[in-house]
Amino acid sequence: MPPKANHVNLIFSLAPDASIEQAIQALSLAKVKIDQPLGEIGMILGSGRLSQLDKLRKLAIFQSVEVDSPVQIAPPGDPIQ
Amino acid sequence: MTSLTTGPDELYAAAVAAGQLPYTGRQIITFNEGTKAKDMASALSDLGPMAAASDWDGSDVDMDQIGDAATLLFEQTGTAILTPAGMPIGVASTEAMVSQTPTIRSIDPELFAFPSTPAAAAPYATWGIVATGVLNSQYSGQGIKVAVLDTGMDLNHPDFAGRMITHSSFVPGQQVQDLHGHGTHCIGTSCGPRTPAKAPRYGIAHNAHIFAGKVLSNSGTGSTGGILAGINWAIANGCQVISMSLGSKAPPQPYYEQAAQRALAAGCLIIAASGNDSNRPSYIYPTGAPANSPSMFAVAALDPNLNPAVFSNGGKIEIAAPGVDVFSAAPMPRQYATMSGTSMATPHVAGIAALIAESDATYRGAALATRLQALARALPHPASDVGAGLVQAP
Repeated sequence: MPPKANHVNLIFSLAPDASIEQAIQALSLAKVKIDQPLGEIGMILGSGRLSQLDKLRKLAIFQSVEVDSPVQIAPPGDPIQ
Repeated sequence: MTSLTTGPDELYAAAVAAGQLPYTGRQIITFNEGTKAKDMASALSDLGPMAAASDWDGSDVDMDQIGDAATLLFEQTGTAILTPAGMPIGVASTEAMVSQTPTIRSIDPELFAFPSTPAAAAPYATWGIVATGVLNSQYSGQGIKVAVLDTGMDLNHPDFAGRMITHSSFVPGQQVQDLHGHGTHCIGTSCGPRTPAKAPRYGIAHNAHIFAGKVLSNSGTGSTGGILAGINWAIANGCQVISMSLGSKAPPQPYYEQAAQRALAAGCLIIAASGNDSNRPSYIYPTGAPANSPSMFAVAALDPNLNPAVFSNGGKIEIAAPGVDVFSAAPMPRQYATMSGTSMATPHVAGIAALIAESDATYRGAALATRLQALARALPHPASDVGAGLVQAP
C-alpha cells in the first residue's frame, strides 16, 4: 500500500534504558504506525507524519528519531561497484 | 607421486586433487640445535636414498641430479625435506618418528609459499586470494555464520550446491534470488568454494554458514530501514560477521552507530565498504555511511599493486583489501564476473574475519576487529587510506 501523503518512514532508536514495550506504547499514543520492532539493535521502524517529527524527537524514551533514507549501489554492469 | 624433483606446479596440482592444500605432501624435518652433520645424515640414512646440499659443494642444489632420493638434507640450516617415500614402514606418525629419533626436534608439513608482492593472479586462485594469504590458512570458516547484506544471492549457483545457506529478503515484493549480481559476487568472495569446478579459487570461508540477506533490490536500491532490519536478523541468528558492501555519502548516522554497538555487544562485527566516490589523486572523498560510524569496521580497496584504488574513499579506514579486478561468482547462466569497488574489498575482509573467528572463540566483536588489524600487512600509505594495511588470513 502506498504511504499516505506527508507520511514518512521513521527510524526510532531507543535510549539505553528504554524497553521496546515502553517505546511501542509511546508510539501508539502518538499515533505512529509501527512497522517492525528490531529488538536486537534497540530500534523500531515506523511511519508517521513529517509534522510529528519535532514532537517525537522530544520523547526521552528515544535516543534519536530519523527519517529513513534511500541507499543506492551502482546498477548492474557498472565498472565500479 | 610427490618426490623431491616434483616441480611446484605439479605439487600444487596434486595437492588440489588430494584436497590437502595448503600442504605439499612433503615434510620438513628440523634437527635439534647443535646436531652434527654426520648425525643428521645418520638419522636420515634409515629413510632411504639421501641427498645433501653439501654434495653440490656450496653451490645451488641441482634438482635434476637428485635422482630417487627420499630425503634432502640442508646441513647449514639443520633441516631436511622428507618425501612420502621416505616415511619409514612401521612408524605410524611423524610424532612417533620424532620420539624415536633423539636428534630430530620436529617434523612439520611443508607449506606452499606464494609471492607477497607484487600481487598477481595465479592459474589456481584470484590475485586477492593470493595477496591475502588465504591459500596458506588452515581455516575454512567452519562453525562461523557470515551474513552478507546485499542484493541477495543466486541460490541455484552450482558452486554453492550443498552449502548451509539461510536467507531472507527485506525488500518488499522481492525474493532473495539475486537478479543484480552484486550480492552473489560478494558472497562468492567471502564464502565461495575452495575448489570450484570451472574456475580458480575465489572464495575464502568455504565452510562458513552463509546468511544471505537481501536488503537491496534487483536494481540496487534499498532503504535504511531494510538494512537495519537485516542487521537485526543477522544478530538474532547469531552471526559473528556481517558484510555490508553498501552505503551513501551521508555523514555518520546515530542509528548505524547504535546498530554497530549492539552488534559488537552480541559478539558480531559489522564490516562495511568505505565507498567509491574518490578520484585519486585529484580528490579523496570521505568514508561514507555506514562505514563512517565509529563502531563499524571500514574497508578501503587496493589495486593489484597494493596501492589505494583510484575510487576508494578515505579518512576513517580500518583496513584495506583487494578491490580492483576481483573475479567471483555471478548469477547463472553467467556464473562468474570480474568487478571492482570497495564492495569487492569488503567481502575479502569478511571472509578472513570468519577464518579468524574460527581460529579462536575469543575473537568476537571488538576482539575480532583488533585481531584483523593486528594481522594486517603494513603498507607504505597513510592510515587514512589503508588503515592497518592489507588484510591477512590467519
